[in-house]
Order: sequence, then C-alpha cells, then structure tokens
Amino acid sequence: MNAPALEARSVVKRYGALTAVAGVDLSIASGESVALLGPNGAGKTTLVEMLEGLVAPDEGRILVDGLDWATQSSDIRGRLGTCLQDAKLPERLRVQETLELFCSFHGRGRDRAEELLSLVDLASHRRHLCGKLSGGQRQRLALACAIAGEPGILILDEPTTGVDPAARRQIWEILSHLRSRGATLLLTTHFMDEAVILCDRVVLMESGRILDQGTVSELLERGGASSLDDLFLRLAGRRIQE
Amino acid sequence: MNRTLTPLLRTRAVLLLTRAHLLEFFREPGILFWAFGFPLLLSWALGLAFLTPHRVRVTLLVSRTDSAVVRAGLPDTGSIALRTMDPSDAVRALRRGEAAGMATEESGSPVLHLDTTTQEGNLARLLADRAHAGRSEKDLRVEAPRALAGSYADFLFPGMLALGIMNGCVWGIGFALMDLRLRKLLRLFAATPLSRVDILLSVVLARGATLPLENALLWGFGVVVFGVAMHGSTLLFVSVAASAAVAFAGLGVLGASRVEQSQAAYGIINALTIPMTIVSGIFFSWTRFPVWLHPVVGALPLTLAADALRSVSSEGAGWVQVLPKVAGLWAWGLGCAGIGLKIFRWR
Repeated sequence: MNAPALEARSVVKRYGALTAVAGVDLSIASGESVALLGPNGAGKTTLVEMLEGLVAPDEGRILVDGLDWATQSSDIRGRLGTCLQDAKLPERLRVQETLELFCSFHGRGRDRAEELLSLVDLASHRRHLCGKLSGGQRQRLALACAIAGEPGILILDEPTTGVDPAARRQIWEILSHLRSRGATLLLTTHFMDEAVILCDRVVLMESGRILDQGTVSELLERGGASSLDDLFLRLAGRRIQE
Repeated sequence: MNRTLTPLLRTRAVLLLTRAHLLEFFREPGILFWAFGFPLLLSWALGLAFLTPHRVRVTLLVSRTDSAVVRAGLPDTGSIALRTMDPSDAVRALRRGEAAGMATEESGSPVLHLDTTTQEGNLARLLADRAHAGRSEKDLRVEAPRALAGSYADFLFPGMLALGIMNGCVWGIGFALMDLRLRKLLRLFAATPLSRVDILLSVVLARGATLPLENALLWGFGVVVFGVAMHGSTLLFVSVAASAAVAFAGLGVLGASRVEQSQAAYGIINALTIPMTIVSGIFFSWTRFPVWLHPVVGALPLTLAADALRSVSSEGAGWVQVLPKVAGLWAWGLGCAGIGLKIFRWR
C-alpha cells in the first residue's frame, strides 16, 4: 500500500502558553484533494507550516510520501509546491525571469518556464514586471512558481483570496487541471464554494484540533447544517460565545 | 443620507483624527525611541566627546626624548595637555587623530608641528602661545606637520571605508533578509529544494558583488581628490576590509533573524548602525570619549574595522599589528552569524 502523500501523527505545536495545534492526526492520500477550514486562530496556518517543513512540531511527526521532515527534509523538498495568498514575488523581476528563477530551484530550464506561462495564461505578460501585475495575474504567477518542479503535492494557502471572480475561476481551472493529472492538493480557504468545487474531503479545525472531517455531504449531515457556510458560521459563532 | 458637516462637527472630526494620529504615534514604541530617545542619546554621546566640563581643550604629543625641554617651555595647563610617548607611538597617535599636533625640541626650545589650516590646529597654536608667553620672551616656533604626520583625509577615509562596509552589509544583507521575510519570499524559497544555506549565500553574494566596487570608488575618490596615502600593504588593507565585511554580514544576519514587521526592521538596522557611526571614531578619534567608555567602544566592530584599516593605510602596520583587530572582526562575524542562524525565522 502506498504511504499517504501528507500525514500528521499526533502533532502538537505550542507558542509559549498558547497551544496552536493540540494533537492533530491527519492523513491525505496521494491524488486526494482536501480543504482545511476553520475560523481565524483555529491552527490551520500552524498545521500547514508544519506540513511545509517551516516549523518543527513540539510533539508528533510530519510525513510526506512516508518520509519524515525531521530526518529526510532534503528528500522531501522537491515533492512539495507551496502557494501563499499574499506572497509578494520579486517586484522588479519580469514574469518570465521569475518563472525561470523558480524553475532553476528544481533544476528545470526555459522550456518548463514556457509551459508554465501557457498553463497560467501569462505568455502575453512575460515581459511585464511582477509588481505591475493585477491581483489575479499575480496569484496565477505564484501558482506557476509553486508547480515549477511539477510537485506531486501542492499546498495552497487561500489561493483565491483577494482576486476577482473571473480570476478565481481561472485559478480553479488550473487547480482542476492539476487534480486531473494526479496532484495531491491541500488548501486552506474561507470560500466554501471553493472547497465544494475543488476538494474530495473537508477538514474542520477549531482551537488547534480537528473537529470533524469527511465529504461535504457527510459533514452537513452530521452537523445538521444546510450548507458549509452555515456550518462554518456555527463553528465561528460557538467560538465567539465561548 | 448625505449629511453636510457643520463647522462644529467638522472641527470635532478634525480633532478626533488628530487624536487618532497622536495615539498611533504614542502607541508605537519604535517611533517614541527615534523621536525622543535617540536625539537625547545622540546629544549625550557627542556631549561626552566634546562638551565635558573642565576637559582639556587640545592635546599635544611630545616624544619622550624631547619631553623635559618641551615641558619647560610649554607647561601643561587646563586648556592644553601634553602627552609624552615614544616617537613612533607619537606619530601613530597623531595619525589616529588623538591629538592636535606634536611638540618637539630644537636648539633647546620647543617647536610646534601643527596643521594651522585646521580649526583645531589654530586653537592649539593660540593656546600654546598663551602658555608659552609666561615662560619665555621668545615666540613659540610653529612648523608644518612632519612629513609622516597624516592629514585629516588620511584619518577620515579609512573610517569612511569601514562605515561604507558596515552600511553596505547591514543594510544590504540584514535589511534584504528582513525584506524577503516580510514579503514572504523567504518562506517560498525555503519551501523549494534550494537549501537554506544557499538562500542566505545568494543574498551575501549579491552584496559581495557590488560592495568591493562601491568601496574602491570611495577610496579612489579619497586618493585622487584628497591625496589619501597608503603606507601599508594593499593586500593587507583589502584583507582587513574583507574581514570587516564578514563581521558586518554576521551582524546583518543576526539583526535580521527574527524581525516580522517593517517598522521593526528599520528600527533594528538604525539601532545597529547609528550608535557605532557616532562613537567608533569615524569622524573624530574615539579617544575623545571618557576613559570608562574606551573598553566598550574599542571592542565594537566598526571601531575595530576603522582602526585596523587606519593602522594599515596611515601607519604602514603589518599582519602582526592588525591581527588582534582582524581576529576581533571574525569573532564578531562568526559569533553573530552563528546566533542569527540558530534563531533565524524562515516564515
């Protein structure tokens, strides 16, 4: 049996007195697409940072394709692609230069940069400075940088926040294309429709723990909610009351 | 509803907006420091160097062999101090800007060697004349500085070079790393197969590519326009400059290691560079500061760099003489970089 693409085993992370992630177990199969939902402060970012290898857990293990971040980090890096919501790509580099730079990190050349330009529909903007791109174009470029090395696993932090509906649909198309080619996706999002359209499974987090997980219909049934929005609002509302 | 503001409501709004600006101002500790604390600290530091009450106004160096005659004709007063030292030390101290000039003995009378084109040289001459008048009817002879004595440019330019290296490294490496983190690029780069050492190395190499050019230009300007002299080995001089770059690169990495906010980034860079710019003897000798401050000032990386560069260019010092300072610079660089990398925040 293949090892899960991403796996967190009893993971704990504390920042001083605050326990950001309190014993999370999460397993994402290869080729699966999972959305991580939860109100602000639920521990999503910390969990994602641990899965990306940026933060080491205080307890537990993080595995990528069965490899442990603690001991096999160099073998893991090329397998992951990361796309951050508000990362500011080098503003005075041109689109093509930026892509060639990120391709070089994976030992890839200009051909791959050309492929990516076509994939994210930025070929006509290749000479534009990154700082001059619109929000949607910038996010598509960030996505192209994340997949420069053709990673099997893609971690996306709010990939469509701050972009207009047309750009959001373009990004969804790109992500759907990557899914169809077998990529594993883990995305955090506040857009419930994004989770419904792109993901096989939704994981609900609150106060550093996984509250529930399953397909959208399973979650709605168990939560007695009419929509994911409704479920999310109940979750957030309970937090406010507490 | 479109509501026109009456003069009273408008005044109230303006006052509330003013209050909001003031609250933002006073709730930012960094701004408070730079607005109130830093000017006071700067004034205090410069005051220590130049305004301490009852401080001797000018210092003249006397070589040990000439001391008796010079002191007979030129008494040590409240406004003029004579420091006796070996001839070679006296010349070195003069080049370091530790005194206004030298006093020697010729034919049984004291002779002053001063640069009377400078304010300090003229002041020294007036004070020395006054002190000498009570002792002798003959006028005090004043001559140009001895050939070996350096000009202010010889003092200033090695210091400027050290300052340039510090600013180049602390801003060019430290601030660049902070900027990469604030733009989340460090996090993006760290998530690629590129190793973290490679990411840091690229920042250092980018700075290292332009730093030699910038400093060669500054030094060349000093040589061509002000006739700055190089009495020592150019290779040693470049090696000392490279050691200074190591020290300040380490300082830059340490300064950049944890910063998460842009205001803090500017604050940290300024806090690292500005105090040293004032106290490390770039524009005037750091021996002007009270003696109790000397051990601290003397150990600062900018002081070590400026003094070591000056020793080579002005005094012709060799490896043996500058080795302790070069070792100090490497200790600063490796120590700071080690701590900085240990606590470095990649996200």
